[in-house]
Amino acid sequence: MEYKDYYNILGIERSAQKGDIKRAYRKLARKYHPDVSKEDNAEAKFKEVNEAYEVLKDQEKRDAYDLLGENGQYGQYSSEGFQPPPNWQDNVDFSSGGYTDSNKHDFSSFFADLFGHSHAGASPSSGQTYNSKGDNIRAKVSIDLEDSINNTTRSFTLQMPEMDASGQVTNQQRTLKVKIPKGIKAGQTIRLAKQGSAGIGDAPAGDLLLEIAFNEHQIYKVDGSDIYLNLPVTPWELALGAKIKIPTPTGKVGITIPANSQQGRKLRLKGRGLPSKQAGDFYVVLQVSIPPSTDPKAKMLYEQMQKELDYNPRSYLF
Amino acid sequence: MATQVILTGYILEDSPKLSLIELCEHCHTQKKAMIKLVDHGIISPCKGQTVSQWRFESHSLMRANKALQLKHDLGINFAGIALALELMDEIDSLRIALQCNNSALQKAS
Repeated sequence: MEYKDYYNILGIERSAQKGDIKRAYRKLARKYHPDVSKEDNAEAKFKEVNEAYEVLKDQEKRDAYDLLGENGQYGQYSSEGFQPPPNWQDNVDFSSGGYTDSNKHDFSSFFADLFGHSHAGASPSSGQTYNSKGDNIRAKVSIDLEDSINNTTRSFTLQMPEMDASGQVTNQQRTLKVKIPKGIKAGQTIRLAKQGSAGIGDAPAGDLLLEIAFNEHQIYKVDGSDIYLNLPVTPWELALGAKIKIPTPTGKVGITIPANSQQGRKLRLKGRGLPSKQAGDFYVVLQVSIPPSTDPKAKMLYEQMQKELDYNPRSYLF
Repeated sequence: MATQVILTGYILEDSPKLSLIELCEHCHTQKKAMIKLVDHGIISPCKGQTVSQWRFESHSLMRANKALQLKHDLGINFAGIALALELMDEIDSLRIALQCNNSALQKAS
């Protein structure tokens, strides 16, 4: 396992008081909370911060951790990485249990190896039958817009808690192939029954809940079930109207730009958004693209318009 | 290497309506906490006059989960959670609008 510097993770001194630890934790928890933060790696950071706080807020666990020395100097390093010093287990005692109110699935193998054992002691004594449905696990995954439209199968690699023979829970990497339900929107959730944490006794496993986000698309934007395309058009297509072909996620479509359109006009293709019982719409937003006046012919035509057209777009300002 | 079974799930938000008890079971929480979420407008029953008749759209499950997680992780009270979730919703919709505008500006320039 890899040594974790919990003081460094919380950005505090080894001599920090309880109040300092709590303040540092609260600040970082707000910063990296996966439901709040948009920072890269927010979820991993948040778990790390939680794990550090789980140890340092509890005097018994903190004392045990401190016995490893600064940067784990009293520990042993082998091909398997960091190990606590010999007889370390004999000198520590966590009466409050290895895991308290935090989610045990989120902790590293470093934590599980050092503090996880007392969790096993918290399970019911032998001879008793005890059944409890496994926890639901939430995870965020990103898919492409086309996955939602085409009902494709995607692979996701997730860190999932697994319990070993000794009852210790550690995170294991698991790759799942998931059929994406047609028409799923960003912010919605795929529920995979019984793919969460294992149940205790005869009780069923919990569910895996995959929260969906869309990867940014090169040409489309998605808002709920509606899809938007910013479509560059020439000034004469806007002014005179035109029939043009546009891309949509399900193939090319012909549309008519009405004459006398203005920049930013939205054209709606009903029902061509994300598919569902109430299918979304596809919006084409007209964006005028002006030919550069570096072209002599264009320049000549602009000069002609300047001379011959009586048009002032700023008249309403005065 | 585990065998690669293709898992088929369903969209949670499209699933049948939930009673208060079912919602509590899914969120591993007590009725009292769930009623607090309703009292603060964080989730709302879509029908039912009395607590036992309440039925919730299934998207309430994710909302309630998120709210309880924020309470647990950040130590925020229910009024604070309600405010935080409303602001987060607003940020999300502003972010989408901004993305649409930004790409329009980039295309135009």
